[in-house]
Amino acid sequence: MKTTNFNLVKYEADEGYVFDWAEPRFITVFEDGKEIEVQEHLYATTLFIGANDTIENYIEVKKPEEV
Amino acid sequence: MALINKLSAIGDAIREKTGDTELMTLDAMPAAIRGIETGGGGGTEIEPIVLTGHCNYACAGQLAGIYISLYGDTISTKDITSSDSMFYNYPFETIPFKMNMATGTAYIALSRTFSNARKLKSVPEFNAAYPYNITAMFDYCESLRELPEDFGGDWNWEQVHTISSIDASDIFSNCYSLRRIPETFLSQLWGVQTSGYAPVSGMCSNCFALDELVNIPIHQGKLTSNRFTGMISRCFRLRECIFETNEDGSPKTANWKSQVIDFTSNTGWVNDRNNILFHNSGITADKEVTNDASYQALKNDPDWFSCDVAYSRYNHDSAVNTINSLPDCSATGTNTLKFTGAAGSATDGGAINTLTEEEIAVAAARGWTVTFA
Repeated sequence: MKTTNFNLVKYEADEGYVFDWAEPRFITVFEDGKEIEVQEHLYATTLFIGANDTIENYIEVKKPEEV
Repeated sequence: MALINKLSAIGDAIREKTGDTELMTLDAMPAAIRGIETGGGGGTEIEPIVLTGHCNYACAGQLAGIYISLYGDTISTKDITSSDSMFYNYPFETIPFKMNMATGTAYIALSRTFSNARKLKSVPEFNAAYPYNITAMFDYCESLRELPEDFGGDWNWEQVHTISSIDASDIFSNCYSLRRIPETFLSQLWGVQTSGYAPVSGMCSNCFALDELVNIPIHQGKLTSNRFTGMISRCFRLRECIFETNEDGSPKTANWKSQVIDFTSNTGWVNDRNNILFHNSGITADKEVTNDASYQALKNDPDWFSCDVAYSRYNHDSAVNTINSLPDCSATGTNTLKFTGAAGSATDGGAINTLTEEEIAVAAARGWTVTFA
């Protein structure tokens, strides 16, 4: 579904899916005293995108079990 | 020497001191030892101790803690130039001496000063410091409920604010009982780092009992990958997360992109009530909101909490306050707010997913994309 107002576009993920960033992002975390890089996920069901962003920056992925 | 012979030797030593000649039982030995008079011309007075210079790990661990508990009134400090891990694993609730830091422009490392002091309930008076690294200064101070209102108020924060290599991350992480951060101290937690060592990185991660973060200062460094990771994760009682604005209420500007402020990690409601009750927050089980009746009875009580996302303290009204305080990053790039849509649905503030498009548009205009999980 797609609706527009206030220069916003609202996107809702399909049933069983969530949005993630199209370009993988990584963050540094400490695990067992070591710095390691892990992928950061968005896993959102709804996006409100304004002029600074675009839906091209997101992809739909199957909803992980823990979300 | 067999154990019985060792015990006999101890008995002989006691009799030598007391002048007795009779045999004694093992149970009688502690009292006999305590009854032995000491001092009185024997020269056993404890010399005053002055901790000075590099005091890294100086009071760390169980043995140092026990020594301090016995002779703390003989200890003083002077011109400390580094207190890195000074009280690491300190086993007691208080520290019986002041922290007199070096004055002037000496670089003072305060990193992990009280780290893992899990029983510590109050910090000592801490005079004018010139802090350099402040990473994890209070990490795992599980019993620390509050800091003095003027804590850090007379410090010279110039280095933290101007040197890009300073590590200021995780300063309050795992402070399970901390209820609030003094405004004067919070207002200084910004810098110019561009790395993961910015003050916001992990700043209040696992502050289970924290009530609010108001006037969070705007980090001035250029941030291009997410440095807000863990800033408020598992802040189970957080009801406000508000950034500093200009005096007229207009937003500050920030040079940020790809930052993610994540409110989906139980921000406002607790996953297990024991996380609130089993530390030193001072919050009791009768403050738990479980239904509308208990919400109405407790909603104005500063100690209330809930395990139900519907009664999340962080709700629609909280999200509006966060959005209205966001810094303007529209010139730099896109950042993200992650909300739990259903949070707060049974509270007066309402569910976050009732944010209007007009309210969300405020965030979008400043370069923030709003998302619901």
